Amino acid sequence: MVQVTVTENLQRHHQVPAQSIPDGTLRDVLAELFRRFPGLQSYVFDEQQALRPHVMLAIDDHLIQGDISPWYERTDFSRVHIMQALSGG
Amino acid sequence: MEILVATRKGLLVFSGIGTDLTLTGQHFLGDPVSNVICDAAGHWYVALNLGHFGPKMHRSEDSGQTWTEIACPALPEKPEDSADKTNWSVQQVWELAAFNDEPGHLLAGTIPGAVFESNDGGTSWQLNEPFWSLPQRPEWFGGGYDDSGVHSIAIHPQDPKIWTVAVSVGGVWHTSDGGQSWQLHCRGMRADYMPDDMKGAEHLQDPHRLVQSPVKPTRCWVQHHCGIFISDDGGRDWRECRVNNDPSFGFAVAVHPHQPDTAWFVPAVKDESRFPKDLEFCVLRTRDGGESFARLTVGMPHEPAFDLVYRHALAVDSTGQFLAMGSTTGNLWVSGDEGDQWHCLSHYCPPIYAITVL
Repeated sequence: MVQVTVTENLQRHHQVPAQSIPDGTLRDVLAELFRRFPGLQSYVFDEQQALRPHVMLAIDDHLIQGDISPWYERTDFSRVHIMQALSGG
Repeated sequence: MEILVATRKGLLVFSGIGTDLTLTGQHFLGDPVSNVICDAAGHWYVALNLGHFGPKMHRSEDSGQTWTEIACPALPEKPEDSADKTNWSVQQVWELAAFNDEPGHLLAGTIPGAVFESNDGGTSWQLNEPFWSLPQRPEWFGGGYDDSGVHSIAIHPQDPKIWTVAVSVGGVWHTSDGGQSWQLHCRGMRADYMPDDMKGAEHLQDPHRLVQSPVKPTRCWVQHHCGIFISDDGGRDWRECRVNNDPSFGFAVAVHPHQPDTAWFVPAVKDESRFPKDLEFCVLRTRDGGESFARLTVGMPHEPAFDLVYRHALAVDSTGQFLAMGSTTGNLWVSGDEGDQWHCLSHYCPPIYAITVL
């Protein structure tokens, strides 16, 4: 199972408790998350299905921002944390 | 009297009698609200511009007691072979317009420059494809933002299929068939920021804000990057109104609902500077169709002021007597006598983006 969590900041808008999602590709895991929480997807991806510029994914210990396509078909991970890319003082 | 104030840190509601208004409601605290309107059913709509999570929209059918997240305008999938350099992703809902007598019928203008229509109270939005496909759009550019944007949509008060749309930076566009076809007309405007031979190019004009007289729709006003302009043919041909002793640069304009010759403006020093001339904040009012402007200062700050009033942050009520105005410095003023005297409701608001007077 993949453990999926969502930053507290995003939970101001969508309450998403920690999820256990069956193993699969990153594409499959995210699709299942968005199936469970309709409306969440537009907070994470834009209408071109690109990760929003100020959103990051922590996939195991890799911080992914921008183009996540190299990760879409990978299955070698057990944790996805959706977080905002922090900026400012 | 009730006013809805869209700010950098949420939607504020001020209520009271006359100009004696107090803060009575606060919603979406901490979230930037880029615009707010009320439709023909009395429903409120807010556009949020969440820094990390993109633009979102919410509707309230009970004057803010409860809110429902609704759809947000979104662009279609960009074709792989598209040469368009624009990122097909809505960055901000900049303009909201509601049709008279048609509850739930709305138009939205966005960054990048697109027009969307909803017939179901924002439950769904349809991109206006003819506008998005305009051959001139790739030449538009951003004014203050990375991409061009639609900030003004005027719906003709008698014919709801006639819309006038202003784009920064992309000129003034007209449709008389509900958005099926569009024509660019803003002859007479002048783009001083362009090379001499391109100053008159209509698709490169930067109208900062366009408003239309409800009682004489042929009369339109524009606060342009390069001056104040007036039209008497529905926004096709324009002439500049000369302003003496004050800058003609600014963002906001409001037109009197019953007197087409009366309009208000808030001047600032151009271009990027954007502060009141000599740090003396004032409002300009014309009552003679732009032949002359009165400088309204009663109730304005006596000390040096840096306030700037954005496009949607100067509003007039349906009588023309009451005005509300908010600044980037977080000052919020109202006037009950067409701007002769102003009363500051708060010095401590967040930066103010838009105001709707109910």
